[in-house]
Order: sequence, then structure tokens, then C-alpha cells
Amino acid sequence: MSIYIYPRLPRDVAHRIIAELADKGLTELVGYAALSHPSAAPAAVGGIPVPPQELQRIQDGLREIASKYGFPSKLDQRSQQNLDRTLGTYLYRELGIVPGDAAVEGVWSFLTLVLVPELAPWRFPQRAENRLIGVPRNALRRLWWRAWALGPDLNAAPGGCSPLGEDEFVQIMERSGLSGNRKVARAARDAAWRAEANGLLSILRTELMRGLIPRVLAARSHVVLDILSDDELAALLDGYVRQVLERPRL
Amino acid sequence: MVFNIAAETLAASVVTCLRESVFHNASELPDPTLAHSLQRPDLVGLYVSDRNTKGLGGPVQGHLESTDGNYDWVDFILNVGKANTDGMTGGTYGFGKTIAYIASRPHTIVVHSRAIHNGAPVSRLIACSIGSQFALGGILHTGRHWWGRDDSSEPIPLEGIEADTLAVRLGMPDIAEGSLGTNILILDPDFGHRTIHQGMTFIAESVLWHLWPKLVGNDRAMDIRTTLDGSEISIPKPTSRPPLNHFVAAYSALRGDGGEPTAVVRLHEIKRNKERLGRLATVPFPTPPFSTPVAIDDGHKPDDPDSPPPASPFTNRACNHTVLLRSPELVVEYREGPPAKEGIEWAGVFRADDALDDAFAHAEPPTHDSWQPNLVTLRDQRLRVLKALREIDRAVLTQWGRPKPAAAVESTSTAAVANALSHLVGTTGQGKGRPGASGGGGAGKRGPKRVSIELLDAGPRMLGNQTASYLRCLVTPPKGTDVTFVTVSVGVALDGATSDATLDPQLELVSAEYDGNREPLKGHHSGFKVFGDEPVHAVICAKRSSASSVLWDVSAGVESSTA
Repeated sequence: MSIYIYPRLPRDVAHRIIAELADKGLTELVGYAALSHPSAAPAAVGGIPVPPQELQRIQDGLREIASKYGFPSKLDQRSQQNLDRTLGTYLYRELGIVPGDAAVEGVWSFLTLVLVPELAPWRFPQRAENRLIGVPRNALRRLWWRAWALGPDLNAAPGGCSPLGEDEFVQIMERSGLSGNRKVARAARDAAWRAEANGLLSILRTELMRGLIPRVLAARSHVVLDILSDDELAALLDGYVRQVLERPRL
Repeated sequence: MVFNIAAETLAASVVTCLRESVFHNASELPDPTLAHSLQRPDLVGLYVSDRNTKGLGGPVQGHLESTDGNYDWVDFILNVGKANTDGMTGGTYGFGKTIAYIASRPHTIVVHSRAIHNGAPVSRLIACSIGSQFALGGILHTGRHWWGRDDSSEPIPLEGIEADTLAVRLGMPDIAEGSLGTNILILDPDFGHRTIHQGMTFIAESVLWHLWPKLVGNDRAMDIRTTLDGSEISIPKPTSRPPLNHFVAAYSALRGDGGEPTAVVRLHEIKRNKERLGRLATVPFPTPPFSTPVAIDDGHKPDDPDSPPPASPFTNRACNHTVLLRSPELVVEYREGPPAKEGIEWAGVFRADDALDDAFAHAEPPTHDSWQPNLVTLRDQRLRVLKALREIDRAVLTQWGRPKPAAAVESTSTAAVANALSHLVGTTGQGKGRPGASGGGGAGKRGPKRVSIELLDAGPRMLGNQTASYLRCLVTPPKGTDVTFVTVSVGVALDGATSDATLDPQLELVSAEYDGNREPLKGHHSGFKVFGDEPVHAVICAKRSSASSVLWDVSAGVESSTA
């Protein structure tokens, strides 16, 4: 797969577009999509700017996923989560974007507001600004990073386990100390799956994750997790999982 | 460099030449403005010329590559209004070029230039116009027109002797043999609601107010002449336009050609950490007693709000401003500062260091009349511009701002200053503190008293064979305090400043030692009392498991019987 650099939409222009599209319905928004914007240009530091036909392909791909999940009808919580996993997997596989570019606000503003302007408002009917502008919680950006940290396939899960849910992803991804560390993030996920596969779950897996993640963060204050071998890390995390499961129930 | 701005009532021969040899098809244009202008009985032309410059060189067609990287001609003639759409660079909007068109009622100019091209001097002449876009024959046109060589479908200028001959017929100032330069004829200039004489006076006065650093000193970098129908409208001397003389004094002090800075002139180094961003000189002067203002007729009438604005920024206005300059030394802005005491005014000049010229240049909008940090895309450059503006404001505020109230109450709020500087950050946020409340109440008002808590150090400790952590701090109650309550919370440190007290079952506060006392403490959240207003060293201790780090949170409040 080729690596591309993506156009960046300046924040003031993004604000303008949000204001212009604020009162448009979902199907109407489809008509406002474009493959380029006069104010958006990729980073000037080199790399191959994504060609228009490639953007066209991604737009088609994203819309195909959306229609599979019943765009424009309202999503229930379960389909929201399935949609998120599918979109994240798709974005991470198909964009061919490097983390350096994927950490830039303007790139996601462009994709969210210009390439597929109907998608974020459909997924987040409140149309909160931080879902539309390319900040970390942007509708598409957060999914790409999810797939980067915990993917590539967000729908994959070992036998007897279910893929992570929204709350579990958020537990991991919205902790800066964890989301940028693939090794530990994946190890934490795997520890939860091990508990699930071995039938140890006396509580909801979400609850386990809520107890496990703070313990991982607290450990970072005096354990350098990065130099532990995979087995050592797994053993440490299994210990934390036991602690959480053996906690007196309040 | 020599600049000339000459307004001429065009001779009949020039008008005929314009009508018949240049704009022969003006009546066929969709926009009738040009044809109208050419029919005016007293048509005026504004000739703007420079000499001892490079002229407009490079190829004359947009698709040709330049042999020497010079694209001055196509940039000026063909790329008018070309915006740089790359969000990563500031980009120019061709404002400097379009202003020549905007100053013309029919948005039409004639450009005549001699430059070195492929090693030899060559003259060129073309006429250009910017109109509104229109559709003709089913094709949308941009509304830009050029008049040049007839035998070409492209905007190609007349060249060589042909260009020079037509330039003479159009009344263009001569470009002497062996020299280079450019003439621009702005057709039918629009002076707003000014007469042509008032318009030229306004231009001459504006040259002084905005270019004066180029006109003072012995090494006059520029010679600028303004004329009306051949007679000179002199650019006034700075001394004849108070308070400009005080800006010149501050500028001379900066340049060090005014001898030692006198007691009156104050020099400030504007710095960011150790790096010098530029220098600022300020001069106070008494408000001149009421005197008849200099009679300047630039069209402005002080008692008529609808009259055109004056050239002088200090018409009916006290002077408490700083002139912003960078390497080109053209006035960017008269930046307003705090008014001084009654009867005193002040003038300041800030000159950015040449090494940072780039940063300040990027902060200028296309009109080059302010520094806006948010226009600078490179973060460290932006921070320098921001810091420079802040430090300038701080320096003049410290020098001229309101004297601090005598009562040194500890609660002097920085909100007032923060709010005064808030435009620098481009948010509408108010500084902390009570917006609208006067910072630091005067006598008779007591601000809230605050305890200072200085954290000295923290670390691990053993209590027998129990692992623990300690924190040492210095508690300084305000004067006159009877009792100070110190509250302590502990938690297990997670990310940065977040903590969770429930993660470690062994985590618990143990004691606080101060003044020879040892107060037992309990739980995750507890406190102790300090009596009197003497500073106190306290050591707080908490036990924990061997596998967690403690995050401390210490705060304090006072109780005082002397209200």
C-alpha cells in the first residue's frame, strides 16, 4: 500500500464549514462532499499528496460502510459500536497515512468536513464541535488511532471473547500515558481477554477494564513497563486482573 | 531609491492617445466605467515612479521559465490577486499590487518598466484592468483585461523603442538612458471625497507619517517627491508635525545618533528569556499648550464626522503610542498604550532585531499595518512576536500606567493587566480574578488573605518495616493570622495530575510533624491547625504499599479574629 500525505484544512475554515452545514439534514450533507477544498493543502515537507482518485475510493468505501449500517436512519448503541469498529479498521487499512500526519488536526478536519461531511453528524447527532474538528476526539481520528493502537482489525477477538466496546476503548485511548504505547495498550486488552476466555469474569468486562487501567497507570510511576518482556508484562497484568476481580464488592 | 508620485490633469494629446492607441475598444467592454472615465473633461492621471530600482524583469509570459529565477513581470502583471492557498504558509494576497487598481476609478493602470532581461536592458509597456467577471458567448470571463501587442492572443507587452515611444506619448516620466525603473499610470484616481489638491496633500502627509524613518538622518534611504500638475507639494519636516518630533527623538536614541540617551529617553531591551527580540525607546513630553493646529487641508474637517479621515494619527488625540518598526523601517503601526498623567504625553519606538525580521514579517497582514501573532505559523516565531508585544505593553504600562495604590494589599489582581493584554491572545477570555473589579483595592478595602505553601521536597520513607512517603513544606500564614487550617489529600499517582485513592488499600495518612508537635492523621483526606503567623516547617507522612507512588494535594485557609 502506498503512503500518502493528506490535505489539511485550517481551523478557521473548518469553523466556517461547520457553521454553514449546521442546519443541513444528513442526506442533504451528502451533496456538500468534495474531494478538495481551496483552503486545504497537504504538508509542504514532501511525501506524495493523496491523489483525487484515491480520495474518491476512500469516500466510496466509507459511504458503503455507512449504507451497510443503514445510513441515514438513527443508530442504536450496538450498531454505533459495530460501525466504529468497522470504520476504524477501514480507515487504518485504507488511508495509508503515517502517524505524524494522523496527529494533525487539519487532516481530520478535511476528511470529516469535506470528504464525508454526512458521516460525523450521523454518528454524533449532537454534532459537538470536538467530533467535527480534527481534535483527538474527532469522529474519524479517534477510530484511526484505536486501530493503530489496538488493531489493525478492531472486530477481531480470540475464541470465546467479544471485541472491545466503546467504554473499554475510551478507557485505553483517552489516557495519554497508555494510548501512545501500543505494547502496553495491547497487553492490557489481552489480559482482559484472557480473563474472559478462562471464564474468570465475575463482573462485566467493562468493569474489569475500569479497575485494570488505573492500576496500569499507577504502576508506570515506578515500573518501566517498556523493558518488561511480553511474558513478564502479561504476568504483571494478570496479577492486576486478579486484584480487580478479588476486590470486595461494594 | 527615488520615488515620485505625480498627479497630472492629462493633456489633450495624452487623452487622445489613451482613447485611440491604448483603450480603443473601451466602449465594447461589458463594464462601462473605463469608457466613462476616458470621456471625463478633466481626466487626471496619477504617475507613480521609482528609479534606481530593478524594474520588472523576467519573462513576459506566465508559462515561460525564467533563466535567472526572476518573475517580477508576470508576478506583477499576470498574477494580481493570486492568493496563496497553502494553509501552511502565510502567503500574500497581492494586496500591494491590487491597491494600484483599487485607487483607479475604472480599476485600470498602465505599466511601463525598464529592467535587465537576459543580460540587456529592455523596456516594456502594457495596460491592465480588473473588472467584475462576466459571461460572453457562453464563456465565463474573469473580468481581467490587458492591452498590449495586438498580434497576440496573450497579454504580451510592447517592448523596446515601441514601448518607450508610447510611454512618452502617455506622459510617463522619462527613464534615463542607462537607468532602470518602473512607471505606473493610475488612470482617473479616486481620492474619496477629497479634491485632487486635498488628495495629494493627504498622500504627502501620509508619506511623512508612515515612512518618516526613511526620511530622517543623514543616510536618507529614500527620496520621495509628490507633485501636482508639476508644482511640488512638499513632504513636511517631522519637526513641523508634532508629536512626530518626539518619535524621531526616540528613534535617534535607538540608533545611537543622538549622543547618549538623555535622562528623558528611556531605552528598554525587549527580551524573551535571554534572547533579545528588539529595543524600545520611550520619550515623555509635556502636552503642548493649546495652539492653533498647523493648517493642513487633506480633506478632513474636524467638526464633520463624514469628512474623509486625516493623514495624521494624532488629530484631536493625545499621544501615548509606540511606533512598531522592523528591518525595512516603515511604520507598521502606531500602537496605543496607556495615557500618562494629566499634562504629560509620551512617544515610543520599538525596533525589532534584524535576526527576527522573518517572524515579525509573517505577523503582518497583507496591509502591513499591524503585528498579529496568530498569523505566524511557526510556533517559536509566533511566541517571539507574542512575547515582544507583551513586553512592549508591559514596559509602557509600568512606565506610564496608573500608579499602584499605596496600600500594598497582597491581592493585587493581575486580571486588569491580563484583560488589557487579552487582545494579544485573541481570545475573549477574561483574566482570572473578578472581571470589572478594580485590581488591588485602595485604602480601607482588605483583600482576602492567602497562606503561602511552599513544597520543599518529597520522597520515600520507612516506618518500621512499612513503606511510606513523606512531604516537606513551608507554611507561611499572612500577618495577623491566629489559626491556619492545612488540609492534606493523598492518592495513588496515575497520569500527570490525576490520582485515585482507592487503588492502594494500604494508602493512609499517618502524621504531620511541625513546631515539635506530632499530629496523628487518618484516611486519605485530613488536616491540622497551625497557630500564630510565624512560618512553619511541616513534614507530612503517609503509609502505602511498596508498589505505588503518592500524589499529594496540600491547601490552607485562615481564620483571623482581627477583622
